[in-house]
Amino acid sequence: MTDTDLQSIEPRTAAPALGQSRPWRTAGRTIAAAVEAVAPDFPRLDAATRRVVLTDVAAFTASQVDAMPEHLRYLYRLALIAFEWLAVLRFGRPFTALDGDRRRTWVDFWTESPLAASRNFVKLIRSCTLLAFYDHPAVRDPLERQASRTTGSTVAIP
Amino acid sequence: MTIGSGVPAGGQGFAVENLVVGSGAGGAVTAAALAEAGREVLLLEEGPATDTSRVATNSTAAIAHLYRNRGMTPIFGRQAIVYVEGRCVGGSTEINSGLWHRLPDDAYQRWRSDVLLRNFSPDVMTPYFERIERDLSVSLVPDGQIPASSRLFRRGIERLGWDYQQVPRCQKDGGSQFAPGAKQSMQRTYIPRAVAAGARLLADTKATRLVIEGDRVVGVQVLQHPHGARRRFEIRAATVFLCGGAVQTPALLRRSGVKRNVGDSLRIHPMIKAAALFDEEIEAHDDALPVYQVKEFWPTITMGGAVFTPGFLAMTLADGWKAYRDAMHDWPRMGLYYAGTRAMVRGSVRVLRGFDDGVVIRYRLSEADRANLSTGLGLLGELLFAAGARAVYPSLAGAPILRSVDQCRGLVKEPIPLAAMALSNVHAFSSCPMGENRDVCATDSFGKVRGLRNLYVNDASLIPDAPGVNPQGTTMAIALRNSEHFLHLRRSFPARARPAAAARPAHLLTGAPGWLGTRLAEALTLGLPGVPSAATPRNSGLRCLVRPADDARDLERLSESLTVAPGDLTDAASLRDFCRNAEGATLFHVAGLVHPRLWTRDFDRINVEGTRALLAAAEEAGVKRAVIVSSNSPIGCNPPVPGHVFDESSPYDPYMGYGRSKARMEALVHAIQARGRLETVIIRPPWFYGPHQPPRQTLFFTMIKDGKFPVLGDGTQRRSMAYVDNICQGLLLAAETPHANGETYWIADARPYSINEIVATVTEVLESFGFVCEQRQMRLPRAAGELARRIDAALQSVGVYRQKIHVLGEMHQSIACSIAKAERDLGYAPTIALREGMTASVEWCLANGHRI
Repeated sequence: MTDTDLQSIEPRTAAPALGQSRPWRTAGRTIAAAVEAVAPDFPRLDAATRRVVLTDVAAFTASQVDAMPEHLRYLYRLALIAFEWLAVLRFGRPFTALDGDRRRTWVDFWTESPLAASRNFVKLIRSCTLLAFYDHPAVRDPLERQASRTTGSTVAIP
Repeated sequence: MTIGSGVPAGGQGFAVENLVVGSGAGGAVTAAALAEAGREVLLLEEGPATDTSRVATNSTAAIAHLYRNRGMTPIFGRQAIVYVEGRCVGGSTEINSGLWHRLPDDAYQRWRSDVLLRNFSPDVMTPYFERIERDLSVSLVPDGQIPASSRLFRRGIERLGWDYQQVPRCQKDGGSQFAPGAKQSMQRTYIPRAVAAGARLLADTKATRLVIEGDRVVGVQVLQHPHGARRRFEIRAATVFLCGGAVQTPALLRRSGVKRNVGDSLRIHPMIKAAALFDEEIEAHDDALPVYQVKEFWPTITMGGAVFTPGFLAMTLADGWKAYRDAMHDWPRMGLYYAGTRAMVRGSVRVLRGFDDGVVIRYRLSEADRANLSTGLGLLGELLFAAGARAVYPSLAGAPILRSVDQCRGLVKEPIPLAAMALSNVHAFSSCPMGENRDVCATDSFGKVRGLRNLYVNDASLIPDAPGVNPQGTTMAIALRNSEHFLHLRRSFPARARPAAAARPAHLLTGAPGWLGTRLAEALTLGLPGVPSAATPRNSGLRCLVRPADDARDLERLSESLTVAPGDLTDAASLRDFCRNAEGATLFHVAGLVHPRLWTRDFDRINVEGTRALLAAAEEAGVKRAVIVSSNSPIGCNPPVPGHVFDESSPYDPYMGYGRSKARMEALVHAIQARGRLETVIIRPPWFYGPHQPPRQTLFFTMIKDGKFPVLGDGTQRRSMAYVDNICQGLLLAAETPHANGETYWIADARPYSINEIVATVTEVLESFGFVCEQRQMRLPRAAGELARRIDAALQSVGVYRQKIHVLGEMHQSIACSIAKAERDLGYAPTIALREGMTASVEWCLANGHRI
């Protein structure tokens, strides 16, 4: 199963609240969509579990953004808005309105940008997503079961 | 302990004796030391009172509850560095690995030399480390409990033959760090001790600004934010200790307007991580923390293991996620490791106006740092392959998976661009360095902030540079040292005076811990080997008058028979306490004022009136004999007669204000002698040199080294000098020779020296220690000295004293004396001459951190 297959069968992740005003609500949705785009496909989770996990991961990522020092927090929110709306120039639609493939294309575009700021922007979302995803209690059991194991017993280490 | 206990209800508008800001390694130790000494303490913590053991097993919960900005603090520079520190009760000790290092030996000498750190040596600090290690149960993890990821790491090190160490940890029972209460963080140790001793703990409360009036901090403005509510108020405090760490402490100081040498010299240990895939299933997430570190390349490069969870593994792989993500399938066979460096440049901490948490940290890594990180990563890869790794995943943007040692060596040969590195940092220090070098240090050698009487820093900010090891141990040891120094200086006056008064001393001494006073105390308690009449200690009870602000701990360590009586020559009551129960004793009066800060009136206040009060107290107490140190200055300078030397019959011709005060002092002594109740002997030593010298004498060495010592005229003018051990010999003989009563003696080296000889000898001595010295000194006409003398006289006539002008004004003149009377009457026999004495002086300077 590929990331695209997963994207097509899972419902949209609930957006965390980043603030009461409209731009910040939009930013919350942008984070949720970005989390979906960068979330790993291993281990495989059933759709309901994945939805719960990604909602928690998005909430964690949003809270990480919210925990930045105040002066950086506002800059990052502005970057989220730019990330959301600059997609219109390339795809004719904002980021949250894109399908899974186009979202990943847009994320990759920012990841591989020559601008350090855009690389760091995505890096934060990806790092938070990976941490929260793999350390999520609901992921731990599938992770144990689906890991590549050595055949036979553990090799003794002197 | 119940975390958060002792919080004052409402927290509004209260006053405390000691306010400790920050509850991490520095703050917890400070609070415990003060509280256990019976002091009132309020311990303020910005973060929550979260019990670490409840969240330690859940990485995201731990980040949310224990980390500052949930781990989202950047350090800006050529490449952003993620800075992680604790923000909870217990500070970073709640989130770190609990690894324990003592300060490396090389740092002691470096810090004494670079920042003139006083009273800081392995002998002084080792007892503090030992006490804290006992309190934190610092121990090695037993062999049977060493985790698999660490055993693999050791296998690689041993195959390469590198030097390494198992790092001890602050941990009870040696088990998993996740076991509740296993790691001996501040929440488990010093904070409960402080609370048990009466300290109060106020969590969720951030100090936002110091309230400064004149030269005192009178309070701290705080922002309390429990459960989202925000309330601002002020806490009044008699003394404030800042222990918020190397970023928050300078930020608070700068926000409060205290900026001199604050936040200008931040140092860090940046590191880069790599994941390794092994054949063996090592289940690193089940293990305790890694315990080995590679020392082969220390202090430039250090390598070790890192905390492992699947989430942390994935974060390490994030920069190369497209290429690396399949590695997550093999996570049970993977371990996480790091390579770090001791970055050598200085960063900064600055605050943004209008933001409570507006702190900007800058650190611009140098090319050398980049090369070291690159080399470290390459060496780490080589080690991991030697350990049996199948693949190594460096935390580098766009890097391939490393599958061979050759690829790792490529990282060493062609350094990686900084922009590709995913860097993090958990150690920060040096943002408010301590020491006597006022050009770079924000505080004195014990953490007192310069310019403010009651403000102290007591955390990792004080550490003068990057020590190359985890700084928790050093921070705690320094915090304990400084706290005890603070308590020592503020010990109760009567409480200290009573035990001193209770004993019946054979000797009383003023002028310690000064230059000659300290040496005489050593002569009396330890003896001066090789010095006639002073080789044997007089261990029959020595009581020293020490000003309350002076550090007397070195003095007290000399002997159990030595007691300290706090007091001052200007405080008659303290002098009576000093002399109490001293019937039949000998008083050595060494204290005096040579160079006042500004006003000449201080000469009489100290040298005349202070002596008058002291001798009156001595008479009243029944002291038998007083040996009083005078000077050459009452007699002035030699007349221009070749070979002329003063003797005890030479007439008074006082030189300037100091000479007049000493002449009046001698007259006073003669008058007291005439009353017949107190035997007196006057000793006139000229220019001293030798151990325990003050900075002005070290400056004399520096000037000669740099060719900046002013030689006036042809340099043939002569000076009698006196090595301190020779003076001690003379003082002891004067005290113990019955027929010396009522006499005056010149005490000096065997003969006078010309200025040329003094300069040449010092130059030779400095060169013998490896210093490169200028061979020519600054030559000035005699008239320059005469002009300085006249200016000095003019200034002193209106009561003003300027030390440099005064010293220059007598450099063209001869001040030479004969010691014949002392030799004849006392049996005085100076054994140490100029070269030997100057060699000992330079040795002492180097051993005690004086920068020449």
